Amino acid sequence: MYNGNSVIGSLELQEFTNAMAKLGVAKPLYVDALGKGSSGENRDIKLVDAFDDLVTNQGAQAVILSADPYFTTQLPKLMRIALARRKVLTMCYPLTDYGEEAKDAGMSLSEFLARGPSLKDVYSSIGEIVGKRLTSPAGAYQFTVAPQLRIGQ
Amino acid sequence: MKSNRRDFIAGTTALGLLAPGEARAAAGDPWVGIVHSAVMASDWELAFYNGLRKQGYEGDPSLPLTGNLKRVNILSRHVNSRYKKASQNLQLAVKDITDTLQANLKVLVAAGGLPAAQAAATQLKSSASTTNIPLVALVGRKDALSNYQHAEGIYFDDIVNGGAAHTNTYMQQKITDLSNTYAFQGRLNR
Repeated sequence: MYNGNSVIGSLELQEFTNAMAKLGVAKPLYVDALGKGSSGENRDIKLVDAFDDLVTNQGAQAVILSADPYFTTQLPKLMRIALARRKVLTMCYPLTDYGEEAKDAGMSLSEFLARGPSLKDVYSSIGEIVGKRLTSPAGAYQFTVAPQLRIGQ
Repeated sequence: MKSNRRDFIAGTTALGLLAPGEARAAAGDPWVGIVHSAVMASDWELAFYNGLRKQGYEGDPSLPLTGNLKRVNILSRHVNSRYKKASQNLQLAVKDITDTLQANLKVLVAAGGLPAAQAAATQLKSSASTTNIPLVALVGRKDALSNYQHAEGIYFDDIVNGGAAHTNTYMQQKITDLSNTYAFQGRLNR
């Protein structure tokens, strides 16, 4: 499930279909949460409809959720949707923060997988980078990759 | 009004007309601007403050200074996930921060994915007065950010623009993990 509004939404879909093709899946299941007939703004996204399309209509048994910032703002709603479908659906979350929330919601590790950074840790690291830059305005500028973590069975 | 904000701050400090944050700016405390494509949830904000604290700065305005911590002020602007016009909205948000804080702005943070970081880099590059402001970006995918010279930060997945092959392997890892550990079979095709 991706957000067609995102600048990387189409890229994520391409990565997904390429990865599934390696498993011999020619037509993988996916849904653009934005839906058809939307004005193109995130406020039009109906997450329940998107899940119904993917799970009920298409028959998906697992959903890989994009690390889209808008989705992250909808974390509590996404958690409720996943809980309501826990018997037929395994969620794969893009951040371990989702995994922590899922555990707190009472979901077992066999019911979800969270692979990716911890947003909480990343924001702390961003704070540290800012602090270092305040102290030392000069110096090299560089990007580092966030540690990839995993919560699951 | 915005273009004269600095003069306004300088001219009104003695009159006590400023909000506490602005008064601190007039006193010379450094400012950090934050622009976010969605909104920074309270947990992330507290984590950000914690990171600042590890480097000797107190950014939480609700806490007094303790120990050797130095005060840093935060000015946040977010566009509430309005992606459709994200570039325009985010650049205006960055411009509002730079116009408001001017020389007091020491670091700009862009979070919430590539749109915020790209808009920040573009806006900072657009004026000689802002081209040296450090940009700390949190992005999902690594990006050149308009080759802005003072950009640094953290990315989630590696990807190269400009025609090179994508190097992101995390999608493959997730699918492999689901297939192997969670033993998914069957209805994968439409």
